[in-house]
Formats: sequence, structure tokens, C-alpha cells
Amino acid sequence: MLAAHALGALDSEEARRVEEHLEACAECRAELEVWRDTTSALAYTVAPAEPSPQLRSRILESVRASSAQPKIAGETKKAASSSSNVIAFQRSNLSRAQRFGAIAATLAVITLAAALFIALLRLREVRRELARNQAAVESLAKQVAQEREARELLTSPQSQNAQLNGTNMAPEARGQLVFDQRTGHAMLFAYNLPPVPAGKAYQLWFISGGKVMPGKVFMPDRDGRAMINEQVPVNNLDSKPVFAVTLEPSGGVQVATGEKYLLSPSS
Amino acid sequence: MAGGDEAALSALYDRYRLILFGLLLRILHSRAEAEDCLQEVFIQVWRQASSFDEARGRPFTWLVTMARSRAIDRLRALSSRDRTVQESAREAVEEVSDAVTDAIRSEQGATVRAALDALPQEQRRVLELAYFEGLTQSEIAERLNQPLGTIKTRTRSALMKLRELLSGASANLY
Repeated sequence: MLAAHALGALDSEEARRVEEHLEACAECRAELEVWRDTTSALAYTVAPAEPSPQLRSRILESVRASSAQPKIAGETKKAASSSSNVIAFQRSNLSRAQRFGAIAATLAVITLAAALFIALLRLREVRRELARNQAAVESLAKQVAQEREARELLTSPQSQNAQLNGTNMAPEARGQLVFDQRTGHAMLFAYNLPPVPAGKAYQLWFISGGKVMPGKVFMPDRDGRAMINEQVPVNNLDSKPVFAVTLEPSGGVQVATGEKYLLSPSS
Repeated sequence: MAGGDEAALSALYDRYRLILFGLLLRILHSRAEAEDCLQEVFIQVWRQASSFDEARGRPFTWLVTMARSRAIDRLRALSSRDRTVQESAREAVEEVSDAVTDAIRSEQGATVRAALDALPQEQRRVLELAYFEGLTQSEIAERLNQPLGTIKTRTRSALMKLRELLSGASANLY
């Protein structure tokens, strides 16, 4: 069996059984080696032939290329173990043309994948830019609308203007409240409001005939400024309403609890 | 070679390329296929160099066994894929190898051929069909229209006799 195996003449099932046995039997491995010396001698009966001169450098190049990849430690260890001279033959059934085709196809796929990846990255970037631009446009549009409202309100013959002054809590603070007497549409412009403590916000109040009505809750910007649109309850206001701004819990309240920061003078 | 250095690989190539390429041509009948195969063999040598144990085997045997086995694998793949290409290539190669041959036939070749010539013709045939054409004993039995048992006996006798005949000359052979 070993002799025939060395010749490569065993049927696949027999060969498999012999290989299995060789794994476990050093004596048979040594014996197989002697038989292989005999069968290998058959190579001498063939006329030697010279491969093309380029083959030598082709081999060295591919060896260099393969060395560039790190060897897997486990593989090396396994290769170095007991049956070292039992050579495992890898089947490589690809012709040169097939291999070239395979490499070309692989390269094409890699190139496509890279291009797609770059395109996706670019698309994401463009989308973000678009979103940023859209946000900027919306913010500008909002600003423009607000300014138009402010202009209309300020130039309307129906508009009434109330000045708000800082209280002792904020002596520097000032405010203007403009409102349309017919529609109740109002805008509050406030300046120099002190920064708001956490959990707090400013709230606008309308005071008329002894009644105190809650208005909007708002936050000033970093410079203590605020501009808010408001709807004044014109029907509930007498001819001399008073406006106030207090510091309240950030959700706002129905009945003022906090200190007044801005107050329009009552006549 | 264990360290995997290129100089050692080059030396191995320079020393064995003629006989290995001759063997691969004999099996594959195509220079292109034989060159591809030889390249694979040396890449495998490079990868497995660390697993080769000089104390336990001859480099010549290792290389020839590896080359022959790879060539047979390739031959099977080829013949299942495209017989006509293989057949047309066969003619071309025979012309080339005829032109190269006898001048470089070695002393060792003469020794082994003499041993082979000492075998009965039917035993020699079995060795050649198995070794160069990659036929298994069953396939040889079928090809020669002989019982499998007969072929097994012939194989064994042939190899025993060859081993005996070569044992005296083995020092020069490898």
C-alpha cells in the first residue's frame, strides 16, 4: 500500500485511509519516505528541460509578495508538527487566463466598491451641507418674517407703545412692548435682562383693572436681549394696561410668584 | 531555507529547475502549464520550507514528489476542462522537448533508465501510467483491461525491483 501510495496510484478512498494511518504512525511515514525516494527517481528518466528565463524572477517576485503577508502563527506551528514531510497538496486548478480573469474581476469589484464608498461619503456630505443650508434659509426666513411683523406693528396707526423699566432686581434692564389695539398682536423687545438661573424663565404679564393675566414665557439671549411675539388680550384690557416681566419656573405659571424685573409705569 | 531566505530558494531553483521542469512537461505536455506549475511548486516550497526536515527526507524527493503531485492535480483539472487544448499543446511540446533532449540527459538518468529497462515491459507500463499520467490502479486496470489484483501485484513487484536496483546507486542519485 505504501509503495503504491508513493507512486500516487491508490484510489482516493485507499489514499485517504493511508494518509489517516500515516498521521499516527511514524514508522510508516519513514517507510513511505523510502518509497518516495524510489518513485522520485522516475523523474530522472525524463529529459530535463529549461523553463523560460523569466520564470526565475517571476517566482522570486511572487515569493516576495507572499512574504509581505504575515504568516499565521498557528499555521506555521501546524506545518512544523509531526508529519513534516507528508506534503499536503493544495489543488489549484486555475489556468493562467482564469487567474488573470479572477484578479481582474477582483480588482474591478474593489475599484467599484471604493468608488461607491467615496460617492456615498460625498453624498452624505452634500446632504449635510444641504440640511445646513436649509436650516440657515429657514432661520433667515423666520427672521425676515419677524422683522416684517415688527415693522408693520411699529408703523401701524393702531399701535400702542409701552415702555418697560428695570426694577431693583435689574436696574439696567429696559423693554418696549408694542401692540395693535385692534388685533392684540404684540411684540416685546427687552434688553439687559440678567441671565436666567437654571430651571427659571422670564414671563410676561398683563395687568388691567386689578386683574393679572399671564403671557408668554421666554428666555433672553446671551446678551440679555429678547424679542417675542405675543397676543395681548385686548378685550380684557382697559385703556391703561400695565405690563410686567417676572422670573418664574421655566414652565411658566398662571399666577405670578417671582420677583418683577421689568415693569411699565402705571399712570 | 528554514529562515525562508531568497538566496536559498534561488539556489534550490537553479539546482533542480531542469529536472523538475522536464518532469512537469512530461506530465502536462504544455510549457505554459508546466511553468505555472513550477512556479506554484516553488511558492509552496517557500511556504513549507520550515516544515521540511532534512534529517528525514531528501530535498530531491520532497521537490519531485511535490511537483509530480501538483502536476497531476493540474492535469486532472485540465483534462476535465478542455481536452482539445491539451491535445493540441501536446504536439507543440513534443517538438520542443525533442530538440532539447538527449544532449542533457544525465548520468543519473542512465542509471534509472537502466533499472527501468530491467523490469518486464508490463511492469514498466504500470509505473509510467501511474506516475506520469496520474492513473490510479483501478484506472490502469480499466485502461489495460486487466483485473485490479493483477495491476496491484504488478505495481508492487515493479516498485520492489526498482527499489532494489536503485539501492546500489542511490548515493549518486539525489
